[in-house]
Amino acid sequence: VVVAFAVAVCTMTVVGTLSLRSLEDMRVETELRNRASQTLVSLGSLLANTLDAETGERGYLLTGSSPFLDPFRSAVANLSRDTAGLAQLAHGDSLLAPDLAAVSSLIGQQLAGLDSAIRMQNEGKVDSVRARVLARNNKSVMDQIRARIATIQITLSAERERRSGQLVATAARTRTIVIVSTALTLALLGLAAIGLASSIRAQARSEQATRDAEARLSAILEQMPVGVLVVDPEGVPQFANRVAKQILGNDVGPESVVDRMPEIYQVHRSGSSEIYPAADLPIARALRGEAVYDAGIDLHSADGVVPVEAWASPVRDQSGKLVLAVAAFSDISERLAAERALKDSERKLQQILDSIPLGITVADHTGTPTFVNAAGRKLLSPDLPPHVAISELSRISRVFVAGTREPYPSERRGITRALRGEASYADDLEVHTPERIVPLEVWSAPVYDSSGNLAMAISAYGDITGRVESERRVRESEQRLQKILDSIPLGITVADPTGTVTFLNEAGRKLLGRSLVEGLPNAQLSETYRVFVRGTDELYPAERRGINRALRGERTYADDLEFRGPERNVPIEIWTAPVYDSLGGLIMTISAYGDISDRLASQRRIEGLTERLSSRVEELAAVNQELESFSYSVAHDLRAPLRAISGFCGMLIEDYSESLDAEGIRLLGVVRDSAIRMGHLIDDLLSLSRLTRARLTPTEVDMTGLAASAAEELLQTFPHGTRPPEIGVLPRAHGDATLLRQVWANLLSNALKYSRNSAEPRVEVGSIDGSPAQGNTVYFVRDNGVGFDMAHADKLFGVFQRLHRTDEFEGTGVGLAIVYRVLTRHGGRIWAESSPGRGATFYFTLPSDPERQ
Amino acid sequence: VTVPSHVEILLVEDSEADAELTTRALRKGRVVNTLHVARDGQEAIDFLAGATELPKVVLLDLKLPKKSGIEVLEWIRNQPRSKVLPVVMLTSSREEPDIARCYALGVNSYIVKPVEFGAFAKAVVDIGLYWMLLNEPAR
Repeated sequence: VVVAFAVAVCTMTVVGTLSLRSLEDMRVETELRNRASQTLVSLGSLLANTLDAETGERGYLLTGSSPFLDPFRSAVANLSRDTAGLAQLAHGDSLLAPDLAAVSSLIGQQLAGLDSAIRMQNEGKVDSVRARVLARNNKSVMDQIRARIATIQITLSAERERRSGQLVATAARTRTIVIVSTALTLALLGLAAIGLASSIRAQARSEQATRDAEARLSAILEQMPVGVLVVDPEGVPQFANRVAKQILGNDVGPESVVDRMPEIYQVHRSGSSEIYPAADLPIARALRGEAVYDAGIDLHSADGVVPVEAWASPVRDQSGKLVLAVAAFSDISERLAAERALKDSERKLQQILDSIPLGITVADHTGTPTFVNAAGRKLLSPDLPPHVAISELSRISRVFVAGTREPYPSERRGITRALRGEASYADDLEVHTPERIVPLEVWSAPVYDSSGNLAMAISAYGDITGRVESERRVRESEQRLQKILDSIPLGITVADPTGTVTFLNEAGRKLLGRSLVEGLPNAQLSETYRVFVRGTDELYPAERRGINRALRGERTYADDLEFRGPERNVPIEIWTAPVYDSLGGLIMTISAYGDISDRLASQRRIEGLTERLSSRVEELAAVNQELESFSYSVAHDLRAPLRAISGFCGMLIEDYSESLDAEGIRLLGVVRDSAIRMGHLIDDLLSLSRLTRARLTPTEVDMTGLAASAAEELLQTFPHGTRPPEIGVLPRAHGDATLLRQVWANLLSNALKYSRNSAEPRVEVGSIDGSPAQGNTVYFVRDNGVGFDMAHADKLFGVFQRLHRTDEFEGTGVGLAIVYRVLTRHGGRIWAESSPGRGATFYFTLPSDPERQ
Repeated sequence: VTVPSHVEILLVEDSEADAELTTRALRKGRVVNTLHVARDGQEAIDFLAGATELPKVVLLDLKLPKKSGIEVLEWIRNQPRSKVLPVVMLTSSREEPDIARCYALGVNSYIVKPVEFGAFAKAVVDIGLYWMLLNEPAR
């Protein structure tokens, strides 16, 4: 194809050259012919103008009218132009030049003549002018001009004919050349076209391959998990992959030029509300040739803020010219969230560690502390440098062996040991702070990573001031306790749960006559401490020993043992009790014991006294018995003679009344009445005594019924027609029915008796409800009898006390005493209100049923 | 010991005065014709043991020499022939234990002697009348 092209081009060049030459020839010929034609025209014009000038002059000359001068003047002007044009045409034409020069000169001569004639006319030289005209001078010059022009015209016409002939020849030659060369060229072009077609096909294939490659590249870029944006040097986007559009949240088109990107996609600096300057965008900087990484970009959208990181770099061609800029960017919100979560988690961990009241130090595998929590910093040193080697830590944090000024050896430190793989505990160290000395306990352990390599060491340590202090206090308290125990006058023995005695106080040592035997088995206690059953030669048996019983959970007391010392035997009483811890586990037994020699002596004394006392009690019982039989005798033996006195007086009065005068009979009556009265006294006295001794059998008592039945029975002993007592409804009471009946009987008897002389005797029985303050029901018996003076009220309830003479109102003075006794025995109360002649009221109360309350 | 052929009342009473008062009251009341007085418990037992025919009623004091009224009563109730013999305690004691004991031993009546002569006489006559005339003895 190339060869064909080359041949065709050469051919075309040759043909072209030939054609050009033919055409040049034709052009020169044509030009020459045209110039001849033009010269001919100019000559015609020259002649006409010369004629015009001459005509104009003649008209002026003839008329003297100046308007004839106008054609003259324009002809003159045209002539000068025609002359110059001719000169131009003739320039270089040796053939025409002399003729043309001659014409010009002739014309000049003619014009000069015309001009002078006109001037003469103007000067009035009419004659001269006429002469001139008549001389026909102008005519000869004119003829010469015409001749010359004709000559030239002939020459030129000939020339033009020759040139036309030449032009035809040249045109024919040119046509031939053109036809031949065109044919040749067409042939060559045919060849070239064939070659070109195949070449175009090859190129098409290559372009397809390029397009495929580009498609693959696009697909790859499209599928990349980061956003990819490509812009041309003008900042116009050429490509944006799916992720890029997704992140940008908008389509990317030619209008999204870099300069407008921050605005279109709402690009901000991280955490700022201001739009990102377009010139600072990574892609913009890449366009300026920089390779950029920026993670401080936020894309704001309706859905929120998407943090983005971006890389951008320029793309240059082989010559180093910047042809593209490419940016890759990705949404890092998840990563930031993860980072935040990690930070949160670290912060939380740190907070947790800081909130632990124990100091915590974490050291890396070299032993350099990488973390010390808040408590740790406070404990070790408030201004501990962040990274300090373990070897330095002792010195800086001033850790000493407890109780010394010796720095704690590095190799004994927990971290050091943990780095050797040991877990350790120590409480023999202390930190000296400016304020105080802090005793510490430290736990340390190695920490392994998932592959089992020692990754770090961790130490936890705490201030044990409290513990050390409490241990000291415990020691002191133990010493104090020991002093207290030693000062107790009782012997104290403490045994451990195996029954081995572990403590013996001062008094115990004295009582036993020896000091504590350490670790003595329980079985040998009696033998070693010489404990015997009191009063025998039998060693105190183990199963009865207080310690052994306390170990079974019993609290025991015994006084049947004695310590047999070298000097004397000490009788002992001993209390033993188990001691439990707060969880209920038996931790020890404690025994307290004392010398009971004195007590035994007192006991013997007391026993003697008791014996005497019981004999006295027997005596008293006998006396009581005597009293009983005395009462009995009073009942029987005293009443019998009285009855005899009364009876025999009666017999005397019955059988011997004739022998006695009235005075004798009266005296006998006095004797008999006295005997009867004494009988009543004895009866009442006995009944008082009986009531005092009788056992109370309290029951629920119907007081209304009781009072009514007592009244009914009583009325039998009163004269017929005695007005019965008015008995209201009374609340029930709690008491001994028999005795309470006696109370009603005595009170009613008194009331009936002391009111019998009233105009209208009236006895009333009633009750007053117990007030909340008083509590119990108050029963009363009221009469309208003689009453009594309250001044003597204190004598009312005494035995044999009477406020009235017997001849006024019979009675023994025992009735109210009985009432008083009965009520007092019930826990009740009685009192009376009266005034002489205005009746009397007796009130009494009884306590409620104690069981019912 | 003289044993009367027929005795309607046996009075056991150590007090001579009481015995006389009782006898007089019964006589005056015309309640009884034959009455025997035993002066102590033993004598009463002996009399009853020797009697061919039992009295209609025994008036028995509690406090007696040798054998007490309680012992006599016990003896009477333990003898088959005198098991249902009417016995009336006639005593000065109104002590509750005495009364309860007598009734437990099967006494027919328990009378406390009034000190006042009239009352005493009336009581004795009432007793006599009741037991002698009104009571239908067991056969």
